Amino acid sequence: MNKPTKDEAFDISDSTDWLKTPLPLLSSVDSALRCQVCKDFYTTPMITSCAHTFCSLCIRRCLNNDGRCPACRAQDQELKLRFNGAMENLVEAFKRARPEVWEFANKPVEVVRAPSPKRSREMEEGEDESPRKLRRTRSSGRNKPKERTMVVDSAEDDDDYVPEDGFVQCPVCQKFVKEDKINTHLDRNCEDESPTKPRSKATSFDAPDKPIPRPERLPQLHYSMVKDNILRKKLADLGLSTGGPRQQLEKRYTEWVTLWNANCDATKPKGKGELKRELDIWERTQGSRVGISKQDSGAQIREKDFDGQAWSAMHGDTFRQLIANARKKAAVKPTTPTESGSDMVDLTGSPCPMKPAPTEALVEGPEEPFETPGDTDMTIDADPPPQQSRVEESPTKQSLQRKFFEESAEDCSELPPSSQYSGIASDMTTIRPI
Amino acid sequence: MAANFASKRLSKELNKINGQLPPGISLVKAEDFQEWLLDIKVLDSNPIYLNQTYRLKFKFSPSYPIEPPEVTFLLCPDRPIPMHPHIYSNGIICLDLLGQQGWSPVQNVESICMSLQSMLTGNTKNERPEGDQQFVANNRRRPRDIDFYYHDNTV
Repeated sequence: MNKPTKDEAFDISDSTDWLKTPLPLLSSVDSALRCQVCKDFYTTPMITSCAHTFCSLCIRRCLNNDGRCPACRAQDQELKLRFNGAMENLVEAFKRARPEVWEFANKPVEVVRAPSPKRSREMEEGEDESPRKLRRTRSSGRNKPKERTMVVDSAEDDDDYVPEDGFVQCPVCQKFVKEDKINTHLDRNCEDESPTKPRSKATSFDAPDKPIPRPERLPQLHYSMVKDNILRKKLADLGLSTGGPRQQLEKRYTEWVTLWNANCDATKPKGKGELKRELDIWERTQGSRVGISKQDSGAQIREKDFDGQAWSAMHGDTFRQLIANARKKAAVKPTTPTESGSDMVDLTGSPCPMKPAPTEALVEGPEEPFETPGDTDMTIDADPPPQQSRVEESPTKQSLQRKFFEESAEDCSELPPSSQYSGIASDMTTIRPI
Repeated sequence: MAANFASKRLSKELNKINGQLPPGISLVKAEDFQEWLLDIKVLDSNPIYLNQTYRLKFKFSPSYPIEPPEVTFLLCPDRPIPMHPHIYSNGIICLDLLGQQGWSPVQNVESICMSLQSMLTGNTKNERPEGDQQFVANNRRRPRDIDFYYHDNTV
């Protein structure tokens, strides 16, 4: 990481800092300029349809997570977010002024009370001095330092004041314009820059001289509609890594779109390289956790009160059985042209050392409680003994299973729904330690 | 930036907590940005919780505050688990605020403590949730993986 970002990360200023200073009221000003999610000053503030403001990245992450406004829980969509430019201006201005005000506020009290020429405008505002009072001080002493006079420059109703530094009043718009510029000012129908304007322009956003090409926003994907290879291709097209399990791919794509779209909102969008670095950091800190942390179809599962782990534990045997069967069939087909006949022979127990697959079936058969339809059909035609062994085996397992179901059914009736899965949980072998 | 998303926010919260906390809440331990311990007291004269202090354990994931922290009561020699119809005797709390659905990133450690304080204050039943014994005996899961069913809006 580059240094400025690091420094920024360790800046843990907070609105409550002001409470200990002689300017405690600034605390609420400070906190009003901070995002409620990251508790930092707004970065690219966006306003929701419920009129709450957050950093672009923060609100996009939140909406991706649960589609609700963090402040009032109203439903919202990323598409409906709008840039809050006034807020950004305010934040940028306050961020610039903060160190100065901070330094001033933390000076010994005597210095604060005595008006000194060092004071800047913000501090005067902080001290709640009325403009009227200021004007009086100014007119009583013209030899005050320049900073002072600057404050009242903008007070247009101040008729008796004529600035001495080469400004003349425009006869049309009453503004003060430099003497040598008054003609061009009049030629432009008074739309010239007033003396105060250049300052505000520096912080303004809709300044026309900004031909930065705006990057296009990316749409979020509906992952259930996208196949693995298509998702991989999309990631590759964006120049992102295509490694990892499906869940991680989805998370990576989502995070990239979030970062990208938040960057699109920014006044000064960052380069793609920087975004990639941010994605990289995200991947290292959070992305790698994806696979381990939780079943990520969480939201979906939770809604149906469905316990994914218990389900896979319960049906693991069936899946394994299916896989074994598929393997068996694949092995049988090429070797024997008349499958069913040879299978019957094998299952009756007649020695047939030539083919490995059916023997495997013999060995596996009794161990497994479930049978695929194809297999059972064949065994019914064939000799009873193998089936017999299965019948002996399955009742115990089935009864176990039934008992298990009954137990969990009891759980449901006895316990509050919150704990209805406790029975299943205790039965699982793949539980993480607390 | 992303790397420090959770720790940055937590460091801000810690800063604030070190400065000032509401009455009845005190910080016990916060040495990293993964696990914090806090003590809470119920301040009114509710006989169930009179003169008791309870210890809370907060566990934060790297996705905090997008994801809720894991909050449980911790049993220590002089810190019992409070009696409440929504608090299991192993310290697991059934509160929608702490689940994916009820959580909002606007919440913070302080607001959780205050919510729990008021949850205890408002309680009049000196009892454990239904099926407490069974749940405590069987549960191996972490609180965030449990599907709580929030049915009772009175507390």
